[in-house]
Amino acid sequence: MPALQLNLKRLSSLLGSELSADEAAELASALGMSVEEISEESVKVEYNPNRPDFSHIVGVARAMKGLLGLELGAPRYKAAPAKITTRVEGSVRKVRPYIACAVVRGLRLEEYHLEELINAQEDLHWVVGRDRRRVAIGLHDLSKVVPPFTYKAVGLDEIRFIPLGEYSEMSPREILSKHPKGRQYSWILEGKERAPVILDSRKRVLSFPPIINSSLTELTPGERDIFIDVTGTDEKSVNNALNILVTTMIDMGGRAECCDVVYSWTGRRVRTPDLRYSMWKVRPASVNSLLGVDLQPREICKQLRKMRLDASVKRGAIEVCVPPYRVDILHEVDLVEEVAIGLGYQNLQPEFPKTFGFGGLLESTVILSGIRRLVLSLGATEVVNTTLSNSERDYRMMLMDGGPSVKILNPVSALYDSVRERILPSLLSNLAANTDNPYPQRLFEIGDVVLRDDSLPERTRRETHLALVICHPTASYSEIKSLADEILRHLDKDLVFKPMDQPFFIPGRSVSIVRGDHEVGYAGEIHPAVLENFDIPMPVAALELNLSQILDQA
Amino acid sequence: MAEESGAGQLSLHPLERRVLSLLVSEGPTSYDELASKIGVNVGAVAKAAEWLLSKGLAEKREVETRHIAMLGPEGREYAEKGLPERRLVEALREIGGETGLKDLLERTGLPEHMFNIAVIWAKRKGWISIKREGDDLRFKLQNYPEGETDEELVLQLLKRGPIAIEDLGPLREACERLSRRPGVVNISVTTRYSLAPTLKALQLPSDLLAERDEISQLTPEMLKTGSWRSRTFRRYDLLSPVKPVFAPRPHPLTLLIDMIRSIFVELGFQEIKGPLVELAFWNFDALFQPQDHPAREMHDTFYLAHPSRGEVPRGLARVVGRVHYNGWKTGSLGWGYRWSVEEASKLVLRTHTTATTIRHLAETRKPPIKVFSVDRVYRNERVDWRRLAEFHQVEGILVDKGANLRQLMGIIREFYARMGLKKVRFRPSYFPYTEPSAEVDVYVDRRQTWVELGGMGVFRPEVTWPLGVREPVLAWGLGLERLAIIMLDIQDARMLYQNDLSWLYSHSPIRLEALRWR
Repeated sequence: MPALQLNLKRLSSLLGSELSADEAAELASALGMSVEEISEESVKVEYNPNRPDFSHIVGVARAMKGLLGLELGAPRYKAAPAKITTRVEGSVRKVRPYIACAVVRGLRLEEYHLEELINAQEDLHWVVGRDRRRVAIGLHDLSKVVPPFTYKAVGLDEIRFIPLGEYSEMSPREILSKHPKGRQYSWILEGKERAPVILDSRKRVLSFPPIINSSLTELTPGERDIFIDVTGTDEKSVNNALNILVTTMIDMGGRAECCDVVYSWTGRRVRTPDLRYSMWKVRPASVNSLLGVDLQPREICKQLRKMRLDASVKRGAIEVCVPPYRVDILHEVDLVEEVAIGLGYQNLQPEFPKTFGFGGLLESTVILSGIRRLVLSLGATEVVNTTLSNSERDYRMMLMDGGPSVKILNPVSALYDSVRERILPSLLSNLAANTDNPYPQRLFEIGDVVLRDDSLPERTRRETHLALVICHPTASYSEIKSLADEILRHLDKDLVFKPMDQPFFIPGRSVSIVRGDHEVGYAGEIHPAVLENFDIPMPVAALELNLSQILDQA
Repeated sequence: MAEESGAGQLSLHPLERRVLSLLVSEGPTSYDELASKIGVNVGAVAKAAEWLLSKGLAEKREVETRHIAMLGPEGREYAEKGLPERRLVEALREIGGETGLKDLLERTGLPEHMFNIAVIWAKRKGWISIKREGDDLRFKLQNYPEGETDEELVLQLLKRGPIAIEDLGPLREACERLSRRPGVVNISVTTRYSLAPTLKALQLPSDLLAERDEISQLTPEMLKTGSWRSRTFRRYDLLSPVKPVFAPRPHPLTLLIDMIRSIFVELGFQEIKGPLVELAFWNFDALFQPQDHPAREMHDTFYLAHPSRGEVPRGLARVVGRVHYNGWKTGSLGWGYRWSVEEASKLVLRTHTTATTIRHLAETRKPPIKVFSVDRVYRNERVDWRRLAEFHQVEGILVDKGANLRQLMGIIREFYARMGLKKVRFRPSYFPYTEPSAEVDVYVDRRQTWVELGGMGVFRPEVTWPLGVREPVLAWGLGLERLAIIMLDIQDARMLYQNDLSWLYSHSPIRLEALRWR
């Protein structure tokens, strides 16, 4: 979840009322943010990705004003008619096809304003932009360039400009291979032979989205006219990001002005930003039944207004106007939640439902519990291991040829690369980790393994195994066989032992446990070479049973 | 202990009595001597000595420290096959006294690391000379003795076993040399002790030390012959420590899972179970998670290299695709993108048990439904004290006409109350597949803090309508390991999967069960 620092002084000045750290934390939490840290001057929160308008403290203050009753209903946002046009050339179609622009004039920017805007921009890159792939934003000092603008894709060596934070001109190719931002985001343009750029009427570069802006239009403190470009691969997300930025800057005191975007290959002309409200209908019955409350339509409207939405009762239903920065409303249920947040979750009284049902466990759970009690009574202590596994351990250290049938594509940790197919290697790891504890040691696990099975839609089968190891100076086949005999007496009398060598057992000292021709387990003395691989300085005898198969056919 | 019970009650084991009476009559004596005089092994004397020490009847004195030399694994091989430098010069002599590196390596037949050792020592001892010739080295035999003390020492150690350095005489120097070669001769230090009687022991009434005809262990023989009638029983030292016994026990996590299962059964829920390897379709798409959602990315989700693709249920997939695109008939705007069945057919390790819940919902459909599961899920994350790559979720749904958010809160509050956690609070939250959504915090008295334990919500129509379910579905997915950290009062979730026996033995099943009713 993205994080945001709520500076208390700044928040109080935005709200026009003094707020303590605890009050701010409580409000943030009531709005669905999770409070990470509270200090004297600020509260650190994380917000959910459905509310990108919380990427800026202004957006948070806007919502808090509603809950506090300082301002109710949807805020009004207006943008002056367009004066500036951006022409989009067909060359961007296969590279990064959409752009939305706006101008915000007369915005007074202090150093901290710039910092807030940059942080919000970075968060939007993540939350709406999917790490700039879907959406990337550029903010420019309008006075440094001359409209109209052109958005086009150029050859990687066709053009040179000074990127933000540099002192000399670079080509897009150089930026992608040398500049830190270029290297960080070059994956987005991978396989594209051309670089998207925004140029002014004198062919000067404003931006090379989604990588970096030109240093030409860098914003500095002072009263500024700002040109915003948002480019991307999804038009709706591009517009959403622009709406959030423009409404934020209007709340900061700027005057918005639309821009025209003309797509040259279709002639389509779009005026951005579109700050109109979206209209929704909410049925009071939906609210009352989903939340388990009994509210009059007027009361529902009141709660929606606290959430900074306009709401009025029209012929029994409630009409809701959603302001342009609320990009999370997809369905009526989203507005029902707004009512709940308005009411405050703490004011919803929990009530256990009367819905009747017989409780019950799965048959396998009950039987496996019985087997667990049985093995415990035989003197073994239960361990629990992960099913994530390491094929080096499960194969090479076990003297087994081949490799796992279920292999992971992208593990972040080298500890895991597969899902285990047997439990025994896990138990040997446990013995190796317990060499400082007293012997004898008897460990068992009843746990899952995953095997390849192409007959199922998910191409794998989940099975439950039992594995048991005994480890002490005289651990032997006969001891594990005694235990196996007793366990099998409880399971199924058709199971028989059949001498069978396994790579990880001492030759001539292991058996398969079979039903008919089908192996459902094995037991034996672990080969000393395996013990050396695991660093276990003590003899081990082991048993493993495929309980799923044994119980299935029992 | 002895003082509390008074001299009259002082109880001595026969072995203690024998050791003590020897000490009183002969003064300080070494453990070895005591053992040979009494006719028991040194271990038994040491045990009696510990008892006497704890009763303040004897004191331990250091007699001497001895350094014992013994063969290491390398040394054993040297003793059997000759020192590597000896094998080198013998080989060099056979070749004719001079040769190049490759030839010599071959002829000595030593593994490379051993060959290097041989060269170093043969050179150091002056047995060979080495000259660089271009890229090669020339080895030339010099004078060397027929035998030397190093060799004699390893042979002696092989023949006689460990020898005290002090007893080595002229071989001592060789011993020092060889002990510096790794794995050849190891030196261990042993300290010998003697036992001396304390003043208190000397003042003991003499009859206490006299041999007595007391019964130590009652035997079947005594019962058969009735011989116990004419004898008395030795009084035991009843409070001395005994050998520890640990009852085999279930793993605390299993116990906790069993507790949770029984609570949901008590509340009228049926258990369900599903696959660990899951189609992205059930794990994400059927839950209205858009295909470019960050949670679906490689750094959050384990994808499989093989098998990599499974089979998506075709009919349902078509509807789900339309929900993602434009909301289908649900009244939703949808996500507005072209849905790909290819992406949905990828196999993942399920990231939440909700995948199993939604499968169940697709099969059952008809309310009322009350089901739960406690099972494993996976996240492709770097592991730390609170984040594991594989962990458990406590999952469940209730489907019924008129089911609502307050009831969902009611279920969760009741569940935690039955776990002994009475104070809970709910906060708004967000999940792509629920609306309204909530987060639950539980107050932990012992830590005086709120702990975030899980998420819940009412499934969105975009999720339930394609399955043919129109009634509200109350759903929750709570963290088990976080709960375990609270219930077991541990600091690090990784502890749960380390299976350290001393840790496992420190948890009592009875104590854990009792937490439910506190």
